[in-house]
Amino acid sequence: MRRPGRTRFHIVLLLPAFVFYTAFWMAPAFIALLSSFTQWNGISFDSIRWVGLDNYRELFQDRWFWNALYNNVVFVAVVLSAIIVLGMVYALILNSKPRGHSIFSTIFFVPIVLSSVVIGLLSTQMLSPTVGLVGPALAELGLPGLEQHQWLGDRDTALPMVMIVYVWQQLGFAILLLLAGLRTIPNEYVEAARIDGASPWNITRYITLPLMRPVLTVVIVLVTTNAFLLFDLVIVMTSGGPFHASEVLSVFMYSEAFLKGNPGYGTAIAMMLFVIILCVSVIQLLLSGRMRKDA
Amino acid sequence: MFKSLPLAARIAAYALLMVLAASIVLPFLWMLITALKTTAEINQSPFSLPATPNVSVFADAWVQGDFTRLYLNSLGITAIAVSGIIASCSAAGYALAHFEFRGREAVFLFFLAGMMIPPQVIMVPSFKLMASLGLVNTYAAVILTYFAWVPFAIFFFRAYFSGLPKELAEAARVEGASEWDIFLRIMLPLAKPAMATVGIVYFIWIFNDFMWPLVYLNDQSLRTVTLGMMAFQGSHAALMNLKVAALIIATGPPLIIFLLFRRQIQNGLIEGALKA
Repeated sequence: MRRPGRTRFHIVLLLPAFVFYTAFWMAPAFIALLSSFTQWNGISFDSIRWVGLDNYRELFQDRWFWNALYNNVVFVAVVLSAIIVLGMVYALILNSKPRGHSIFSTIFFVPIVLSSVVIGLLSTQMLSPTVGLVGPALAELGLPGLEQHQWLGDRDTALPMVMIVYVWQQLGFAILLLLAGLRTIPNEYVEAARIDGASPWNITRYITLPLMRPVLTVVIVLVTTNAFLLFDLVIVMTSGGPFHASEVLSVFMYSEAFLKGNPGYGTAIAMMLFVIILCVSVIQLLLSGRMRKDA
Repeated sequence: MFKSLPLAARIAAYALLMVLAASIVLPFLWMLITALKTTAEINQSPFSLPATPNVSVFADAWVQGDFTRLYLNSLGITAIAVSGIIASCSAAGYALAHFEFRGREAVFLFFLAGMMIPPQVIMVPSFKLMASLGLVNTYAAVILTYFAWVPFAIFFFRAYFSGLPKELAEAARVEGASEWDIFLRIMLPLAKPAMATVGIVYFIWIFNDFMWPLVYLNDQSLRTVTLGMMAFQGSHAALMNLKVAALIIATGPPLIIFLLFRRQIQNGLIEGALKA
């Protein structure tokens, strides 16, 4: 190690990353915090007015904020449980190495590299009435009437469709991580249990799952954070509609700040999103701290 | 392991595997068949096969969607952003791992703090900032914002360099090598695996990113693949078979890259997610 003061080379090394990060990430974050206390038409700097907590007061009385928060929480709860349960099931199946497992995993991982935009547009085409795939296929299977159904234009089905597509998109990534976790479990543990006569279910229940806790925690945190930040799929598939039915927090913020011209109000919404992400991170730190104590 | 399961469990397992595989393969098949059909055939039945496959639809979609420009824009932005990230963050990670200086922990924590600030939070002020710099509707706006997306890369490079022995650098110093030589000729070549991982992860993030181009780039000539796709699908003039053909054009290259570099992409994503 270099003794302190002998060279300044580390400053040269740190400088580029530090400058870009400070100027274009941390400074905007700081401005976001400040401007959530202002009102601004977003055009001229003269129009900035300090309004204190007014934006937040307005936010808590805005039914569309509560609507977006509610949609977001429901979305996270549904996709998180689906991704974790299905991801674990598929990872366990693939880890037992059935014939053809590498072909299956290649197929399952394909959605990882596709953009949300392409996935959202493809789903939109497949869900379009009459000419799409989903409605006509269901009609063919003996559910007539669904052929004409506007999956994304109906208040009751818009958000659930986004949920299904999101799970489809993210499942491969969850399987990939969980499978990597399963592979780190020493084979001897499983072998020893099997020689002692433990059933596959008991091996899973008492050996595999407890040893998977650290990886599961990571996957749960990742999925939760990403799902709270859901943006692309909603913009592409429904733009938050019909009539706010699939609006989540970042879409609500985008439409307030960019489409309705309330940047100050938009940043107040962004701050709520930040508080949520912060809470998830703190819970993760507490959990991983406890796990380290357990070990 | 699998063979030790009861028959019913094995059948159920295969059924589950087939369902998920079908949910991924069928949409691609449907896209391919639909693209090759005429509008009349599409309206008649979504399941029928095309009478005469209309292969020229891909060329039409490529031209109408202006894909040459879209791909050049996306690849250019992504290449510059990823190289910048690798250059600046390998340097910063090396400094944080191998040099002892006052405030090192504080600097590292400062860099990590950005992990808790998702792009959505800074979307509005970043737009204002770029607008006041006159950079809205330029490549520079997106690229500078990607350059700032450093926390994950720094974390990763720091962890990687911490695993390299410091004696290497010490020995070279005794020999009289300059700090630049040590960094560029000894340390960076050793960090190639880390560069590959960071490069793959950031390439996928940035190439597929939709939010920043949406915020910064209104000009049609600056559009990336994601933005251009969105516009093309929204245009009522384009026919269904053209729209679906455009989707195939947009999915093709990432798919081919995935199949070619499957191992590297998988390992990169695993390391990236589980180590950070």
